[in-house]
Amino acid sequence: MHKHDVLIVGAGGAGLRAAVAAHEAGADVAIVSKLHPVRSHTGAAEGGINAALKDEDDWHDHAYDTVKGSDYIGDQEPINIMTREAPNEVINLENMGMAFSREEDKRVAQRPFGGLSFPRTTYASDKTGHMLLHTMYEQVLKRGITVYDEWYVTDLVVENGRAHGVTAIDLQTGRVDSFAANATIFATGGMGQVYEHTTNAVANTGDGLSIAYRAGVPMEDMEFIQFHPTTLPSTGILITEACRGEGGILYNNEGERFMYERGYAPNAGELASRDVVSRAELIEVQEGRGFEQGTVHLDLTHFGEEKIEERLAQILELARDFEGVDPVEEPIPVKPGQHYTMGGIACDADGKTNVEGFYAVGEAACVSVHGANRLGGNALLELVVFGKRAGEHAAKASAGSSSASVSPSKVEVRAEEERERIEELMSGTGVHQSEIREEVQEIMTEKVGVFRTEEGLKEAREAIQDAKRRYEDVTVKDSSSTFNTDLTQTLELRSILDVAEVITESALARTESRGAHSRDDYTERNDDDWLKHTMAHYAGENEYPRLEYDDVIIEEYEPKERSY
Amino acid sequence: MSTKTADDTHRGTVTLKVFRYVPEEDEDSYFKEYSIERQEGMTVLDALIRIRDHQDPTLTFRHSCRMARCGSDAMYIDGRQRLACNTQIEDLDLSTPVQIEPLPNEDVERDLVVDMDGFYDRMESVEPWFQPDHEPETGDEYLQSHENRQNIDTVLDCIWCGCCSSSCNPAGNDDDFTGPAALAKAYRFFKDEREGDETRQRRLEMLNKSHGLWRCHTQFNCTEVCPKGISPTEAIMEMSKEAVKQKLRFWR
Repeated sequence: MHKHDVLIVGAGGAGLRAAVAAHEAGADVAIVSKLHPVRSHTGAAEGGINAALKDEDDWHDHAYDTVKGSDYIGDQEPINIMTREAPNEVINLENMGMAFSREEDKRVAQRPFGGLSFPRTTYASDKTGHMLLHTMYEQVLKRGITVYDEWYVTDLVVENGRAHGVTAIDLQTGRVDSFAANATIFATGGMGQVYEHTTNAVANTGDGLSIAYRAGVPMEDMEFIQFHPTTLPSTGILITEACRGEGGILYNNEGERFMYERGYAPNAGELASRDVVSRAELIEVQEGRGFEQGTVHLDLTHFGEEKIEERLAQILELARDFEGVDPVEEPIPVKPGQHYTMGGIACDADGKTNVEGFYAVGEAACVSVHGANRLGGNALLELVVFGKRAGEHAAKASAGSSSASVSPSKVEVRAEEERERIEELMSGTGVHQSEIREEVQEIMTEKVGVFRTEEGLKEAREAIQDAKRRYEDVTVKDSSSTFNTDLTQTLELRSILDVAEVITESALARTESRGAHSRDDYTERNDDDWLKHTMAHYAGENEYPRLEYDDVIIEEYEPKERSY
Repeated sequence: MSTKTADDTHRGTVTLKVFRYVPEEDEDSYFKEYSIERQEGMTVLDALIRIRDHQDPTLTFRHSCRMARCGSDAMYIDGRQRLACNTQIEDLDLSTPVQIEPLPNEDVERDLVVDMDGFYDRMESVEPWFQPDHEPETGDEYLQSHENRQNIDTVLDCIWCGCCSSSCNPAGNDDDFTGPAALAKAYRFFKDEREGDETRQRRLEMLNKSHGLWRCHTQFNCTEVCPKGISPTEAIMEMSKEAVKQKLRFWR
């Protein structure tokens, strides 16, 4: 039994930022993570972090760009908070020692990015996430914050509308233990493993989403899945948007700069928002103007070696090592791949959810600031701005809550139930998790991808239901209690199934096209019926998610047609 | 996990000879051979994942990002510390089975998973956090020249995979040696002009001890195996020279 004021689940950028904030607010903080913090997927973020730092820039413009990028379904109140607080948080990172790239005047450098009306993306070469993650972890070390690394959280304990803590397995020993806390913050990251072709780490299985969903917290706007337009075709590895920000060009097989020449984005071209570019690429391929493996070409050869090495060093390495292509000499073949989930655990700008003492932050959360499409450079920003706010709020709430309201014994009882669930999984008689997982990943990629139809979504829904039935007696074939990755993957598969079902159900219901959600059978945005957030509620093991809808917060920017 | 499927080019089979050890089941470790179909572009990690998914779910190893960034899948592959995810099968000598072992110099927890706690402790021992000795020059932002930022670029890329420490003989023999990764981390701050002279001096004094800078034998093993192209040896040499110049040299 462990007991802390504030418990943070997940140790990527959001979790670490929340931990530092809660610690500074005087709370006893601990972090539980299934990976060691420096292994977190924030480290893979490449491009940058947006902030209106310059005198010629204005956070209101950043807010407007974000609202427009979101296809008007991002909530304008939290977007204002995020963009207004951005300069402070970016400078705070600088003050923590983060190694941003520098301008000639020794100040933090900025560059253009997709969907932004000003070059306001601060960056550290093309390793911005890596630098941010390591800087935040350094701050956690400095403060001596407790980290339980390689512990896999299996459940959130909620009773009478209040969170009491979590249950978790120590991966080293297989022991299930309980963690009671006055406030619990989920910063568990994305869920890319729901898809076969993804930029996401193998660890990104949507555990936090699934656990929160089952505990009664709605999943907001899960139909909005971002596909990044430039991923390597064989692995899904991300080729940063900074390539286009720096002047990289997309070509089809006729040598056309199709973003302009085919009229997809006559003004912004390659720097239109990600949903626009992803759709354009797929249409080019579908109409026979693509290359092998369904790709288009991203050309950086006009940069010269020096510029690529200075600003896009990681891209050189990734293209050479993983695709056998040298970007100095030849274009990189790219195609869209699952990248990010705009939706997530429904919460407000302090990370608060509908469960007392339970918070969410980062990619796992939906505040919502990204709406139907996230702009590049806003994800790392979201981590620090809302990480800080959630940490501070949780610390304050924790200090104010009487210790009697949290019941460690409730957490212990749940830990015992989790031990039983795991024993059952170990003694199942059904198929192995890998078989079910591969099928779900394939159908999600095929039917719940960039373009969707009612027929395809219904097929996916059937396949997921079938997978859930087979999961009921899934078998863990490894009987060891030491670092049992077969067991972890089996537990993760339940998360994948839950999340896949919520995405599909939410997408099936939304009969319009908006941002990243693009329906072949409903091609127009329909503000009359659909200017609203999807709230998917858990309705029981064999039930479809129950969908409800919430209003979008509109302040100064009235919805209008989006063009780039 | 996206692996090659649609456009696979079959290249025959490849045999992996993998180190196995499960503490509650095995008295001793042993090697187990797996043969799988080899595909164009297949990495060692792709092969291990395929084996785990389709042949032997009990095979255990760490991995996550599969893009050479998280640093969790460092292994000893054909006698050298490497990341499994960016090691192409076809770049290895395939006339004999590809031998895959856990990182040497670390305790094995199970199969290819080693205990990294000692590594993390060494990293923490150099106080790896920004310690400026002055207020920001502009009132809010510290200034750093483009050149200074460039000078630390390679060491900043460290992903804490542990390849260097595992390849380092002194680090293997001396648990108190700070080791190459942590010394490179110290260099990352030592060279950062934003910290100022006072901190720089303190950092140098902290590293100037028998189990610090002076334990390095300049064998360059760490430099040779680093999957990110970092040279901890050169960083250590530069700091040692500075210590000598300042007559700080620790006399053994």
